[in-house]
Amino acid sequence: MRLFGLLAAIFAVLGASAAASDVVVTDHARSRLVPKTHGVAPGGTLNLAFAQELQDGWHVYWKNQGDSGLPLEFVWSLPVGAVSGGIDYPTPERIAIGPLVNFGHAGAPVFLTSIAAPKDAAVGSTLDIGLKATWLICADICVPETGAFSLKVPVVAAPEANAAEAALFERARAALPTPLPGEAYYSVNGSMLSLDAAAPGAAAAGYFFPATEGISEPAADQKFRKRAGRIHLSVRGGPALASLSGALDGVLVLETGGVEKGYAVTATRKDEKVGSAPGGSLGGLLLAAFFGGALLNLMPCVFPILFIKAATMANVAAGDKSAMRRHGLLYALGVISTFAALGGLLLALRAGGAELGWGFHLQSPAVVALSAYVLFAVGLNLAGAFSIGSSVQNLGSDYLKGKSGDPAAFLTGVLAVVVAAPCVGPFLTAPIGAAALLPPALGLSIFIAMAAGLAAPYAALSFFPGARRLLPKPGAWMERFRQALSFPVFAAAAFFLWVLSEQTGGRGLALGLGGLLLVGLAARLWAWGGSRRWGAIAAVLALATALVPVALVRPAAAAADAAGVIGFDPADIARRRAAGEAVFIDFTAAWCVTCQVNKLTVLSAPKVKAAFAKAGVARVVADWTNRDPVIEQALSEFGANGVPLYVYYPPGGEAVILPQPLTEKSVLTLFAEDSKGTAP
Amino acid sequence: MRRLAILAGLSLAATSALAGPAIDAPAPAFSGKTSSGAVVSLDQFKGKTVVLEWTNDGCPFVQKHYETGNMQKTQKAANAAGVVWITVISSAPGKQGHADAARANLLTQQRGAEPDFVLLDEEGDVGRAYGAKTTPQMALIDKGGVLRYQGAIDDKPSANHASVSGATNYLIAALQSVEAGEPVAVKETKPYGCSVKYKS
Repeated sequence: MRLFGLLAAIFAVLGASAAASDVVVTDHARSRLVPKTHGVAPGGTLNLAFAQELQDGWHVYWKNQGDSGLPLEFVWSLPVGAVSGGIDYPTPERIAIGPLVNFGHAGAPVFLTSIAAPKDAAVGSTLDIGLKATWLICADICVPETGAFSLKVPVVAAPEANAAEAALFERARAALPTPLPGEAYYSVNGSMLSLDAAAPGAAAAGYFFPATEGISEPAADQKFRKRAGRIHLSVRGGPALASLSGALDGVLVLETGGVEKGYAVTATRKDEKVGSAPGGSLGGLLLAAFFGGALLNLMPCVFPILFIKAATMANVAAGDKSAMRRHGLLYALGVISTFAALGGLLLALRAGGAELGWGFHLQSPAVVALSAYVLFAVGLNLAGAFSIGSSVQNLGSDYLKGKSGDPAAFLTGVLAVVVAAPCVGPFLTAPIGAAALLPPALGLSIFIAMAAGLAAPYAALSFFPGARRLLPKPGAWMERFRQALSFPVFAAAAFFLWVLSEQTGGRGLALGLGGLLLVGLAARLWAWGGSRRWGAIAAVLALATALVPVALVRPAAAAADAAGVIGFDPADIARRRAAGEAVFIDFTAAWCVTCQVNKLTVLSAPKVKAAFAKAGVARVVADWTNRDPVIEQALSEFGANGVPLYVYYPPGGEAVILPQPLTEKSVLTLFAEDSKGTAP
Repeated sequence: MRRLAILAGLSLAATSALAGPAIDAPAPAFSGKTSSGAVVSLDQFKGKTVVLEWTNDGCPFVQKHYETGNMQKTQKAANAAGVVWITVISSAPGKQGHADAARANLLTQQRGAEPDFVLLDEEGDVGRAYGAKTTPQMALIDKGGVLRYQGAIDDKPSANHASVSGATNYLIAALQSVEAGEPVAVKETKPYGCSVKYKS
């Protein structure tokens, strides 16, 4: 305290001579008011710095003080016609007080402000500027302090810089947050605030300070991740989040190479500017959805069905063109309405609070069993065990000629969606994830774009007879090819049976196989009965009996964890991360083909396994085969809506989302970076 | 096991951010030792309106309300309405504002305060259950045990004594609405003051 007094005396002398206010010494701070220039021009702006030096261990507050505290308060006494400006705060820091977190400043913060001089101020006169500043300064206890500052500012034609204080202003400027380049968006999802901003440089961690109180929960962790050059932060909301509307102001502090830097952010609400949903513009998402849907046509589960349909069209090139167009449209309608119904159901359930993602229907063992039935029946049909609506030899030509083919065309569309669902690949996860976050009408439009993509190739063929010439000439080979294609379909059915066994254990598998037997019997009965009534009745009876096992399948308890792999538990992950452990989370599901491919080709590769073991990474598997609200919550916090998703937490670092498709190299690079990071 | 993991996850999330309880929902149950030596619990006051006031006598914001008589005036108004007033001290031993029974009673006497009970919450359990962040901070629980108001005592976030005059007292307004059987207009505000000095 004696030192303070001595310094104060020195500064008082200096202050009087160096165009700054006297230093006000309070119990825990030394404060002064410094002009940037010697004097001010009439009508000009006088920039001022309110510079403080705080006692060690003490802090003052940012404009949003966080859990407790009070920001700086200025009361000016100014000459008539002079107007005071606002306060520019330095970049804040988080200050933890037990379980609470305050936003503030320690050390020597400088607050910038300004005074606009009256236009009619006479050159040669002096402006008397008085300031009463009040600040709350806290260590673990709080003390309100106050100080009166006065400046005599000469009115001059051309003010000169206050060279003695240039370093102070330079330091103040460096501490100010700089405007974040690029646009930023936010969205509110229940109690969570998501911030989406352009990433300046290679930021590795970040924290968002909202400019107003109550928007965020200051002590809650913020989930930081980077994707495609953008930063995503999940922030737990405070009591004022629900009433947030319009732009969101704040400071985003990003850490790059151990250096923190503040960026001023003004984020636009995402649902007001849908053009910038995560992953690009709405138009881009729709386009991605369309092409993703079109690519689904090539998936092993969809291709056989559609190829045969397309090829048969060439068969009837001379046939009824209007009927063909009608079938093309009906097929498209079947695809789109099924997709829209499934998407609408998903969005409605999410709106109702259910945490669901794409593929959620496959979490029901009954749906999985039914999918296996459908694929098995399709396979039998392709193999020629039975036929519907036409003779095997004359496939397509009959029904394409008459209206009798209409329902079949529509149902083929439905079927295409049913079999495509488990094949939804990495190229569709972004649009589907966005669909779930966008307002329902827009979300639905993404599903419809996807459906349109899936339907497009076939529908186009039905409209442009010329394009059909590109298809190979029909002939006897087609029958062989058709029979050959039954095998990928049987393989898909076998995959569903495996999913069923994962979901329900051996008993469910036995029930499913029993069901398939009945489906096979129904097909045989249909083939024997032909168009006769008894055949149809017997087949329907067999099919109905096949539903009994479907009703009996039940999800089994989660299987015991495989060796070396840890089940998903957010608390456990938090503990491991706190202990400095690296954590790799594999969000997967048995019914997700992409996940299984990644597991077989990348995650189970000996090199990758060895790298995991060597780096001492905790491998967590979040198995979403059956419904799990905790996993759904975690997926949504990462902005994902379905699986696969691979997240890596380096020791002591923030989440990294692995790019898709997953490669051995991308996984191995993670640990390479780690070893670099930990090297002395 | 999975259910357990979910619960663990949830409780971790709740304590890490010290979020307040939901408004217009049953107030969190609590029980604890008071300065008179009695143990009180929230259940025993069913049928009565209850006010919780977090305090720390070393905090300048608390001092503003006691030295100007504003807190005592608020307590009198509550007493007149038959409200149970519980002053809560969540400061941990060795931290600012901590009080044992004797000191708590002395403070009540010195400040001319009129609480029905002073709850000695040195473990901070009651404070955490109510997401108490500052001193002063208020909570109002109606006769049915439903939380009707939480937040600041008034709309003047300042330690300046002069700010008391002309302030809108949120607690009294909420109390009047609850007594009249009307919905509370301002149900939740951001509390201001010193951080609660929890056990770390």
